[in-house]
Amino acid sequence: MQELHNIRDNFNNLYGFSVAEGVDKKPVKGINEDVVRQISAIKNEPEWMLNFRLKAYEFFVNKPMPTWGADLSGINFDEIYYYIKPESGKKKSWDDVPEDIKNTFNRLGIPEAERKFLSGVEAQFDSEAVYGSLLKEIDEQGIIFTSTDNALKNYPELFKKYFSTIVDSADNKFSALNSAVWSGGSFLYVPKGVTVKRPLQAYFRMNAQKMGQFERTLIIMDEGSQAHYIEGCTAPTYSDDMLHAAVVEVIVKKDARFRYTTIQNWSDNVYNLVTKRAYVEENGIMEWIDGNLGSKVNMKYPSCVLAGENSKGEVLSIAYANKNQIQDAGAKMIHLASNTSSKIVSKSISANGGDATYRGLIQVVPTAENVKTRVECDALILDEKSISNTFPVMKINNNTAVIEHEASAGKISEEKMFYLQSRGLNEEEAMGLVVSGFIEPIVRELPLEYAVELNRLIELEMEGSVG
Amino acid sequence: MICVLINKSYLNLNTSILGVNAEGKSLLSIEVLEDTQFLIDLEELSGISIDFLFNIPKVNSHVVGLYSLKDKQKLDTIIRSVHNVSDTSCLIDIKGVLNDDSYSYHSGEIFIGKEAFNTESYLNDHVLLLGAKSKTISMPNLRIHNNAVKASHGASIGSLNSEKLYYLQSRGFNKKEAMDILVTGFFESTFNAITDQNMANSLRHKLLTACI
Repeated sequence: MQELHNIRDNFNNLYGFSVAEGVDKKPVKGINEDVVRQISAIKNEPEWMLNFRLKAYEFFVNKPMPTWGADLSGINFDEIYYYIKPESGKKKSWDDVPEDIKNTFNRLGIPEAERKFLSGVEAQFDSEAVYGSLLKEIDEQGIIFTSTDNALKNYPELFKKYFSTIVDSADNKFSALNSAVWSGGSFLYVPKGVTVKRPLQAYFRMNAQKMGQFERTLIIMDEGSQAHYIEGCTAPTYSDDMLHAAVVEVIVKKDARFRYTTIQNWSDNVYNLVTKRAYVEENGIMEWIDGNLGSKVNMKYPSCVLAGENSKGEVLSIAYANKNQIQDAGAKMIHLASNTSSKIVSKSISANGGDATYRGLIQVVPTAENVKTRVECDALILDEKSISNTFPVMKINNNTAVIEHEASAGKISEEKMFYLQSRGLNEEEAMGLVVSGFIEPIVRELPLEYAVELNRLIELEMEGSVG
Repeated sequence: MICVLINKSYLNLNTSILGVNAEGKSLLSIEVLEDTQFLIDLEELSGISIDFLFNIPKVNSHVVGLYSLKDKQKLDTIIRSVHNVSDTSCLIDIKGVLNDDSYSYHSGEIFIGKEAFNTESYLNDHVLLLGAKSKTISMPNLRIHNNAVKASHGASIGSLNSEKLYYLQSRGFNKKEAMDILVTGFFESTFNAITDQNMANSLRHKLLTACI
């Protein structure tokens, strides 16, 4: 052990790395044990975290690629920068941001400061000026809302108690990769009985770092607390990283209620492979609201492990698969306790040859009595080139369960189009209106500004879908 | 609409069309040549995968698969409708009752190809879990590769409605009788849809004597 300490202390000298801020770091492509050690050393982490990372790295190497779902053969793990990015002499400027993304910013009316942050021109977004008063309010309630890296430094005991208890590093190949090289993400702790009135947003956090490739988010809702957390934003997130493998862990304790809203719109070069799971105790309520736009391949199945009696889980999901995109999204509900209930509503739209897939699991163990579940999947296919799939699995091992599943797929009905066009709308407007109506049950659950942006974004995506 | 019963003796007569699918299951491919109602005796055919192929335009089909299991019986089947050409329709109705410790694994799939315009295809999968240790896995899939379609699936898994049971018992039936009435009702709508009365009667007799 002493040796290990020495190695870490001498790391900078041995490997020629500098930890100082503002100094160009040497980028390293590919992953090996040394890279994992370097990440941990640069972040000055405690030994248990280094060991955790190394063990996870081993899982990552030994786990095969998933054989189901979308084709992931385009990912070359050796071509990825796992921590330090090549910044020197290649400072990105506003001019480098692709034209279509700039246009979308303009048309969505994103503020100047946020534009630069979102497009990756500025690594940091100074939120203090904008959200200062809100942050003060949060502090006074005893809420901890910080980056995951900071939480490890400043709240080591709380962090260690819950970290990786919900998503094991060996859960799947990408959770193992995330566990080995994680960096950034949010940490939220809401104390007993505290209700956070306004939604917490990832970029309320002071100087939030650019959304990382391997984010790690850990959320602990103590007994009787309530909060709503919003991740991402509707604007396209321009990134030149091709792989995003995040892990999100949520613990909802007795009587607590939590809602996690994600609207993601990665640029179309990104493989977005995310593991999201919540563990829900007695009387707890967990809601995932998941909007999936953009990216090349998106595979994301938010899950609820309903472990306490009377707990509830809900997933509302929208996916929009445009040209050359695969949206493989869904939800998992694992009922471990009696009187638990869950609901999944999934709406997918495929256009211009896009491929939208719902993949879901409902599982009821033999000891869980009186479980109720309802799943609704609706797919809208806008043209003849596009694809829609539905792959639900129901494993029911208790005869008191009531399980309902419905799915439908089809195009926009001609009567609706005819009616709207007879009222003076052109084909494109009519189609837009029908699509807005189709996703409305989920959009209405979003905060107003997100709902407005999402609707406008889908309108933009749909441009050129007609004729 | 002609009515075809698919059971063991059907397989014996048509062995040449049996192959093996990717999962190692015996694969029976049936090409639908004219409007047909297929009745599948799932209990006799556990372990089989049946594909209904629509390669001729303008044919319609209704596929009925009913089963009732008891003791430690297991059922393991895959039923797919594969639409390759336009203007075809298919309705698959699967209904099962699981008593005692029985177990069913059923995967259904609707595949609609790129050229299969104006397809209508539906898949229903309903399971009644009556046995205390009965288990089921249900996987109703849709794979749709064009938009001029109407496709849906519906699945439900559960026990008998307790309010209905209570009502029947309040009218003087004992619990066993009340359950039998509800199980009969569960199958009845499907029996009524069978065009060949003789087949419907023999199927009714077989299923209800097995589970009542």
